[in-house]
Order: sequence, then C-alpha cells, then structure tokens
Amino acid sequence: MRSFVVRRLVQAVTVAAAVTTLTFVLIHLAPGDPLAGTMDDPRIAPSVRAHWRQVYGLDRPLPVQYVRFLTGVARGDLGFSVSYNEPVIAVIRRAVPNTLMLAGTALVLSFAAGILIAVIQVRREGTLTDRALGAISLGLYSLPDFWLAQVALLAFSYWLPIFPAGGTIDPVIHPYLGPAAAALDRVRHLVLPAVTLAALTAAWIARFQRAALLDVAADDYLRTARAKGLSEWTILVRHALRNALLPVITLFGLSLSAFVSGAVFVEKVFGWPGIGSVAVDAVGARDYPVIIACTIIGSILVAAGSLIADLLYMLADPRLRRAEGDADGGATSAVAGA
Amino acid sequence: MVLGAGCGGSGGISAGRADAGGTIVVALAADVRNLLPAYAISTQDQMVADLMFDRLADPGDSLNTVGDRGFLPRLAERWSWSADSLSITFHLDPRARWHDGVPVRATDVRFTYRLFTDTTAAVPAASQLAAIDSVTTPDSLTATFWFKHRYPEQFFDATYQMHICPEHLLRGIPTSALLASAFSKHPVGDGQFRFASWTPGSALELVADTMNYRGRPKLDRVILSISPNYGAAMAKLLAGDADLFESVHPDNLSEVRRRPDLTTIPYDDPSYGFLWFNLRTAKGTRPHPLFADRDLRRALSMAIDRAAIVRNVFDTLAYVPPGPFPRGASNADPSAPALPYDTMRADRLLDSAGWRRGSDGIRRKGARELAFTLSVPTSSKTRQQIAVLIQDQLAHVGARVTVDPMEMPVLMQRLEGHDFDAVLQNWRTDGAMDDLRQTWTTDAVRHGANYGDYANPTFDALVDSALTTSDPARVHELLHRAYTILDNDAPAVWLYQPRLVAGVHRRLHHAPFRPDAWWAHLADWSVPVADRLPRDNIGLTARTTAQAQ
Repeated sequence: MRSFVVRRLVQAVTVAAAVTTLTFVLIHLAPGDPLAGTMDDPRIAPSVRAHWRQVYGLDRPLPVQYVRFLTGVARGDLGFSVSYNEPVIAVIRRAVPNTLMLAGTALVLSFAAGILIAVIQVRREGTLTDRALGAISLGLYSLPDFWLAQVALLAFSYWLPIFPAGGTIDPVIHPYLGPAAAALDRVRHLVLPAVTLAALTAAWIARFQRAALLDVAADDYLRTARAKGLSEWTILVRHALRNALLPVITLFGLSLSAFVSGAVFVEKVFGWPGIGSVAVDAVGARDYPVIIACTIIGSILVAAGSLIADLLYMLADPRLRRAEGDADGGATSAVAGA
Repeated sequence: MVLGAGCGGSGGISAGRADAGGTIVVALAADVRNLLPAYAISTQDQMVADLMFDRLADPGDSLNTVGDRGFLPRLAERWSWSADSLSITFHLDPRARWHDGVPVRATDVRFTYRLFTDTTAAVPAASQLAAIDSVTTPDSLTATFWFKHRYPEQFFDATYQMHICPEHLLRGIPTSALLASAFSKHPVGDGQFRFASWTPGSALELVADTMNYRGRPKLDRVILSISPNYGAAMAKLLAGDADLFESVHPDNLSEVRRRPDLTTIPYDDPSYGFLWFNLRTAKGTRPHPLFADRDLRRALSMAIDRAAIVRNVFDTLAYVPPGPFPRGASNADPSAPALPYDTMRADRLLDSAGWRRGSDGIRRKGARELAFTLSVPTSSKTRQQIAVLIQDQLAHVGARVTVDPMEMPVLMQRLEGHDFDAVLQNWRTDGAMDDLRQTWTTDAVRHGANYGDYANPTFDALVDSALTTSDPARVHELLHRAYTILDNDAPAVWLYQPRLVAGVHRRLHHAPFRPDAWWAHLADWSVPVADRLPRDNIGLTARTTAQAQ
C-alpha cells in the first residue's frame, strides 16, 4: 500500500510539473500581458508601463522568466499578482477555502441525493416514479451548469427572493452577527450555488448508481437474503447497495477535481470568490502567476482525487488490497533475492 | 436574519446628528484593485480613494480645470498665488486629522508630491505633475508649490492629481514594497469616510469619520459589494441586496424602472468613444497602406452616420460629440466643426482618389482592396454593436470591414505596439485640456496614448499655445483652430459620449451625480428615519461590539 501511494505521489508531482510548464509557456505565448489590461488609461505614460514591466520581470526573455518562476516555487513563493496587488499565495489562500466549501458541500449533496434517487428508482423499478426520476435525471444531466445557475439565480433570488443573489456572506450585516446567525448567513449564501452544482452531478450519479444496483439485483446473495425473509428495503440498502457502491466510490474521488473545475461557471454566476472565479479573472487579466498557481492547484486536486479514488476502492474491495500487497511483497522479495 | 448584540438601533455615535444613520450598499461589477491613492487607476479604486482621502482642493461641480475658479477648499482652507503665478501657497486646515488622530501637516503634502514623482514608484499620475518643480513647507500648515512655468491648469494639477497621503505611515516603506504593504490593505486616510474592512472579491466597507474636520457624513456606512461581472451586480440590485448600481445597461432599464423601490438617475460620463484610424503600420515604421491617405479617412468619416449609430445603440443615452472631448470638459468646444454624414460626397471622394467598385461592390485601387480590420474589445457589448453598424454603413460606400473582437489585454497590446488597422476606443478623461496633448499630439506618439500615430505640427503648436494661454477667449480660439485641423485630417471619427444611468433605491435621498465621480457628494446622502431598512439601523458601535464578542 505504502509503495503504491509513493508511486502515485511521484506520478502526481510529475504531472503537475508538466502541466505547469505547459501552462507557463502557453499563457506567455498568448497575446497581451498583465499591464496591458490593468493600465489602459490614456493618461498613463508608456514609461510608467515600461517601469512596471521591468519590476514584474515581464521584459525578460521567457526562459529567464521561467527560471525565476521555478526558483520562486522552490522557495514556496508563487509570485506577485498584478491584478490583485498582493502575493499570489494570499489570493489562493483566500479563494481555496471558498471553493472547498462549495465543492465539498456539493460533493456530499450530490452523492447523497444521487444514491437516494437510484435506490428509490430501483425499489420502484418500471413504475411511473422510476421513469419520472429517470427523465428528470437525464434532463438535469443534459443542462449546462452556467445556464442552470442563471435560472436558479433568477428564480430564487429575483422572482421568489428567498436566497441572496451572490457572494459568500451578506457584506452588510455579517460582521455584526453573532456566531449562530453568522453561520446561518453563510448557509443561506451557500444553498443556491451548492444545490446548482450538486443537482447536475446528482443526476449523473443516480444514473450510474441505478445501473450498478440493477447489475447486482439478480445475484445469489440477494436471493439468499430474500429467502431469509428480509424486507426489500433492507435487502436493497444493506446488501445490494453495499456491493453496488464500488463503482460509485471511484467516482467520488474523481469528482473532487471535477467539482472544482465545474465550479468555475457556478462561482462566476453567483459571485462566489473561489479558485474557479479567480482563475477565470486571471486569464482575462493575463495575471500569469495566478493562472499558474491555479493550474498547480488543479493538477494537485486531479492527482489527489485519483489517488483518493484508488485508495477508497482498495479499502472497499479486499481483492485489490490483496493484489497490491502481493505486488509489494513480490517486489521486496525480488530485491532481497538480488 | 437576527442581528447580534449591539446591532440594534441607531444609537451610539449616529445619535450625534439628528439625520445621521443609514447604510448604502453599492454594487460593483469589478473588484477594487488597491487602496493606495497613488495607484488608483480603475473607477472603483478612484471611488475608494476619493471617499477616504482628501485633496488640497476640489474642482467642485463646475469641473473647471483652468485657474482656481470654482475650486472648493478641502485640506487647504485657503490658498494664494505669487505675483508671477509661478507658485501657489496652500494653507492647511488646522482641524484636519488622519483617521489615526495625527494632524495633517504640510510635510504630508511635500511627501505626497515626492512620492508621486519618484521614478522608482512609477505612479501613473506622475506625468501630470511634470510642470511642478518642487514643494516647500514654510511652516507646518503651509505648503508652497513651485512651478517650472505658468500655465492655465497648474492649480488643477497641484490639487486634483494627488490625494494627500500620510507621511508618518508611509515614510519608511520602500517604493517597491508599497503595493504589498500593510497600509495598502488597511489604509489610513483623512476623508469623511474611514476604512473598516476589505475582503477582496467580496466587499469593502467604509464607515463615517465622525470627527472629520469637514463634518460627519450623514450615512453611517458605505459597503461596496463586489461582483465578478455586470450580471451578478445587476442581480444584487434587483434582488434588493444592493442600493445602487452606477451603470445600468439600456437593456435592463425598463426592468429597473418597473421596480417600485428603485429609481433611475441619468448622468454624463466624462468619456468619448471614437473610431480610430492607424496612420502608420508595422509598429509605426511606415505609412498605413490605407489610412495614411487623408482623403480616404475623410471619405470613410463622411460615410458613417453617427447620429443613427447613437440612436440605434444608446437610444437617448448618448450624444454625438463634435470632437475629442466629453461635454462640459475644459477643452470642449460645442462649435467645433465636424465632417457631415454625406455618402454621396464620400463616394465622390473615393472615386476621385482612384478607388473603383468591383462587381462585388467592394472598391479597389490597383491590386489593393478597400478592406480593413476593425478591432473591438470583447468586454464592451456596446462597441461590438457599433462595429457591426459601421461595418454595414461602410459597405455602402464599398469598404469591406472585418470586425475583430479581442480581449482587452490583447487590444491594449496592439494599441501600444501601433499594430492595428482601426479600433473602436473609449477614452475616459479628467476633463482637463491637457488630455489633448496626451492623446493627439505628435509627442504623444512616443510618450502618450497617440496610438494612431496622428502627427500635425500645426495642431501641436495650437494645442501647446492653448495649454499655456491664460485668456479664456484666446484659449477657445486656439482650441477651435486645433479642432478644425483635426476635423480636416480626420484621424478618427468621434462617435459618442455616453450618458450613464444609475439604478438607486428610492429610500436614499441623494445629492447630484457629478460626471467625474458620482460619489462626490456621498457624504450628503441620507436615509430618512421613516424609510430605514434593518441594515440602516446597525449604527457605528455595532462592529466594535461584534468584534469584542
């Protein structure tokens, strides 16, 4: 197990380094630079722009900029954001918790809802309920996230104003609220973006989970459970679901990165200042260090999600654990033998 | 939503003034970039700087930039000119205090001037201070500005270009570290509003400076509620989460007007939009194959129906400017000549210049087609609409226009590199005559924003003379002659000066909107007690109480 994790971590670092380098080159090849967008006032003299290009090292050749960037990263310095006027690490530190809160909530919501819908569908297989839930899932699965976000905003902030129109907190009263009211304020702001994000994935998970449940429906152990006189709900939830969860567990890990990337549009629509929103703004402003930092985080999340998926799968399936243990043992024996 | 302890009522400091109290939530469609007045470039930055930091004097509602007529005392309670007009002495208001309690002194003025003109600080406004030789401080409440030469806008430059900064808090910070300094995140000003908090991407809060030398603002708090884009900001206004949005698009106006709790307030925007021809190509090294020809530029100018474009895109929310200036600017000349909309004359001019129509309707001269690319920023829906209309109108005189939308950083890079055919640009001005020098003179090709490489020595001479003449009638005459030359040379087509429309909550009693800064009179805004919402009644003591908890 340990060597497996180490191997995957090495792979993750390699992938992150490759993606970061590629991003660095591509974003610098794109026309425009950070100062072209932020200093577009005609009253700003070209010499002022030239000075700031020099300060940020934008006048240096690309390889020199890359070496400076790598040296900085090695020291834990991700650079200075031109559009935020602060170190990139401060921008990231502020945005990541917001994204994790949104993506984490949506992840839990989507899996809970998706699995519940699938269980109901399988329990009522072939009925109107099954078909209706299937149609709704398919409909939601087909919707673009930015569209659903805008409709949700229009419906629940404007036509039926029960949720705030955006942001993570109410900037007017939040600083003056007690702890309970402040928490409630955060939850109110979280509901719309989290539910929007979760709704799309829940539909996908429901379809996946339903298929997995139906796959195991005819297995012998379920027939045995029925013969023992257990109720259909107990059979479905305690026996069938436990075995049918394996493929969905894989999805859980992989969804972590998908949620973070999928949150980009939802964050933009709801004015949620997370990493997706920061990344989009940084691309528009050509804020190179922020773009690269977001890329690094994205790579890490993809690698982490993949690793989590593998680990969860191994924990859930003893056959894989054994196979990995054999591989470790084999390797050890081979080294000892040599 | 239940407010925590200490939030109830408008007690505490608010009670010190009968009509004081209330909160205004301003929806912003973009974040504030920094809180240092020296680097305030965007409108959002300028708003924060104006509310927290005072200048020596304020141009007032007249927005005059010549002499000191109409200027209102701010940090300087009075001023005097030397007999030769080469120096102006400002006498500071002894009551003025920084928000940390330290008195504002003449050394702060001198420090600010030195900071703004320090080449290592590269402050954007530095070039506007180039005519100031030095600032001296005869005593702690007197600052004298010494000028290299006399010119009409020297008072404007000495006062408008700089918000005075606190020397005692900034002195030890190297200029290279200013933007990342603690002060830039938690500034201490001397204006009628003081800094409370800023969460980038979320909100910035200012509160009334109750002990301010100019008096306490009527409002308790100003919250800038930050959204990532126009749509999200509008949603906040329509959902009642914000009280004001400064620029409602024409598409959304009817929706705002239908709302009983909102009202709309139109006001002039000190900017002008224009179609800019690039007269030199290959990064300014050789004449542009099309637009180096003055007759061609004039013909295309006459083929554009500017009034129709403004009507079509803005309805009544824009004017056609006669020249490169917004209405009310010091360099404005309503009688400036403008090429008429006359497609027959345009056709004749093109015919006589040898541009013949082909079977496809496009004109050619030898092997060259009358075709060019019109660049527009993707961030401006308005300019994209205008570009399509221009494309259509110029097609009628046989010109093929390809509209090329691009991101703003790309567009600015093309402009800086003089690497474009034509562009739809919008310049926001501070209303000063000097704007002409910075954007249209030959000197501005290399040292300013004359990206179209327009150069005419007679125009330059007239502008230079206007900028150094004190007699208003003479200035007007010189500018009129300069605009006549500009009109003859047609380096650009002046298309529109927009009028902005703010959506504002009706409970707010607002003061007049000033074109250069709608927030100029924000300290005089109020919310009648009977109309107050819960957020208006938080009071100024609540934050302290909540933090103490």
